[in-house]
Amino acid sequence: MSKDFETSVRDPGDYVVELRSVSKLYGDAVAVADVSLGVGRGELVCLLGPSGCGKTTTLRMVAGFVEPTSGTVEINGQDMTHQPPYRRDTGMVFQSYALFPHMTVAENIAFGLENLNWTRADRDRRVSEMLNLVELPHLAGRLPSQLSGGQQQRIALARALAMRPAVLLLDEPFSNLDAQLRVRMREELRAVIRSVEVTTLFVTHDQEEALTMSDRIVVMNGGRIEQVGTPGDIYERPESPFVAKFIGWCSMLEGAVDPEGTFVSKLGLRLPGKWKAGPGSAVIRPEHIRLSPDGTAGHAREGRVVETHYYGGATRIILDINGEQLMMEERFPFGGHPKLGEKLNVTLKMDEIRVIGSP
Amino acid sequence: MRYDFTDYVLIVAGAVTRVAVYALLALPAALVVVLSFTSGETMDFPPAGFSMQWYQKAFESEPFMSALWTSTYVAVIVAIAALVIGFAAAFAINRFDFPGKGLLQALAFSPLIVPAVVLGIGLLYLFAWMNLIQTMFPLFAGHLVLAIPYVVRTVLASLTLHNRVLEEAAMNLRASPLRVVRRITLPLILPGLLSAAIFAFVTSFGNVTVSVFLTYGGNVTLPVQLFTYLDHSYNPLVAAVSSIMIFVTLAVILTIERLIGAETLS
Repeated sequence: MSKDFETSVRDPGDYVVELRSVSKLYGDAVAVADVSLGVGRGELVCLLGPSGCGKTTTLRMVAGFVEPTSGTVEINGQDMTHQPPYRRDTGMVFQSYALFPHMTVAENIAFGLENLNWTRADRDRRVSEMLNLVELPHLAGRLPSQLSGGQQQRIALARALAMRPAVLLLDEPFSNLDAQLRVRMREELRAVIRSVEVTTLFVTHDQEEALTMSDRIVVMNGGRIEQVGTPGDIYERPESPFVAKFIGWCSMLEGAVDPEGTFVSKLGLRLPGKWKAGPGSAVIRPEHIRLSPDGTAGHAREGRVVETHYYGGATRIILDINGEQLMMEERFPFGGHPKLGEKLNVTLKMDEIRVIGSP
Repeated sequence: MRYDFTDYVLIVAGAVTRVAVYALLALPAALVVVLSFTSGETMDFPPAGFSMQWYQKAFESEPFMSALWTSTYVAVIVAIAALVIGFAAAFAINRFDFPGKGLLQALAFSPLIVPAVVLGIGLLYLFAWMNLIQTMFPLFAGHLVLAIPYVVRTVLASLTLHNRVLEEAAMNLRASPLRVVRRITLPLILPGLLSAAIFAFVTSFGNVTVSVFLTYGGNVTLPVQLFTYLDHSYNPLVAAVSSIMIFVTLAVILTIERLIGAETLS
C-alpha cells in the first residue's frame, strides 16, 4: 500500500463535501469557527487536532447531527445545512461502532438498505458482498456482542459502506483498539477505502494515523483550521508553531533571522542558512541532528547530554548546545550509550530545518 | 480475606434483617394461601385439614367471578393505555426541552404524592359533575391516573440508560425518526416497557382506595367485592378469593418476565 505522501491527486472543482465558513457556537463557547473546506471525489481527508479542537463537531455537522450556527454544508453540490441526518448521503463509523445489539451482523448491514426500500434479494446480495469486502462472511448470523473489537469495527465499516454513501465519515475509529491491532486495522481500513474508492472524512487525534492514512490533513486547533496540506506538507513545512509541535516531535527555538539569513536563537545558538530575515521560531526535528564522531564535518558542534530515553530501537537524547536544548534520536551499539553530562559531536541538517516567521 | 469481629456482627445483623424483612413481606400472603385450602369453616390457624371446597365456592360465586373478570380486563386495558401515555410522556421529558416540561413532570408524578383517598373523592366529584358516574369511564380514568407515574418513572429510567448513539447510527442509515423509535428505541428498552406494564397492571388490579369511590353496581372490582363481603361475613372464601388474586398477579408477572428473558437470550 504505497501512496504518494507529497502530492494529492484531485480536481479542485469536484468537491463531494464542501464546508463554507461554517461556525458552531454553544452559547458563548465557540466549538468551530469559520471553517471552510472541500473534500475532493475519492479523497481521504483527515481532521486532526487535540481534543476540544472542533474536529468531531465538524464531522457531526457533515453527518447532520449538529446544525451549524452559520455557514453552509454541501454534499454532492447540494445544500444540506439544515437537512436532517436521514436525508444526507453519508455513511458513518462511530467511535463506539454503535452496532445494533438486538440485530445480527447481517441485519445490521441490511438496516440502511431496508430504509432505502431495497428488495430482499438485493439486500441479501449487498450484505454478502459487504461481508466479503471486510472478509467476515462467516459472521453473518452473529450478534455484535459475540464479536471482537476488530470485527465490530469491520462490521461497522461494512454497514456504513453498504448504501454506497457519497462520503464515508469516520470518528476516531481506532481509539477502542489496542496498539498492535490499531496498526493492522488502519492498513485494512485504508485498503478497503481504496478498493471501493469512497470519499472519506476522518477524525483523529493521532498524528501517526493521520500521516499514514490521509491524502490531505486538516490540522485544527481551538475550533479553527491551522493548516491544510498533504502529510508531507504538514510534517515538513508546518506553517505555525502549533502544527510543528502537534505533528511529530520537534525542538522549537525562539529567535530571529538576521539580514544574512542566519537564524540566531535567544540564547545565541547560530544556525547559518538562507531564511527570510525577521523574528521567528526554528523547528528542529530529531532526525535533523546527526552524530558526527570525528567532529570535522561542516557545522559540527558540541552538545552535552542532559537526558536520555531508551526506546529499544533508538535512544532519544536531549542535548544542550549553547544553552539550547535539542532533541535527537540515535541508535547506539549495546554498551555504547552516552552518559549524562557526556559531550557529543553533532551536525545539524540546515537545509531541512524550517524557520516559521512570527507574524 | 480476613474478617474481624465487627465484620461478623455486620454479617449476622444483615442476615437477620434480611430474613425478618422477607418474612414480613411474604408471611401474610403465605398465611392467606395456606388458610384458603382449609377444610374447616373458620379462618383458624392451623387449618383443620386440606380441601378445595373454598375454591369451588369461589368459582361458583357469581359476584366474585364477575368482579374477577372486571378487575382483569380493567387492569389489562389500563396497563396498555398507561404504557402508551406514559411512554409518550417519558419520551418527551427525556428528549425535548419545551416550556412547561417541569410542570408535566410534576403532574406525571403527582398521583404518587396525593393520598389515594383524596384522589378517589376528587374523581368521584369530578365524574359526578360530568354525569359519567354510572359508566366504566371513572374506573379506567382513576386507575390510569394511578398507573401512569409508575410507567413514566420506569420508562424514563430506561430511556436515560439507553445509548443514544445507536439512534444516531440508525438516523445515519436513513431511518426516519419514527422508524428509529420503532426499530431501535422500543426494542432496546423493551425490558423497561414490560416492567412498566407489570407495575401498571398490579396497581390497577389490586387497588381498593380509589376503586371504592368509582365502582357502581355493574362494575365492581375484585378487591372492592372482597371488602364488601368482609363487611358481613368472615370465612375462608375470602382467603380463596385473595389467593386467586395472588395467583393471577404472579401469572402476569411470570409471563412477562419470561418474555423479557426470551428477548434478552435470543
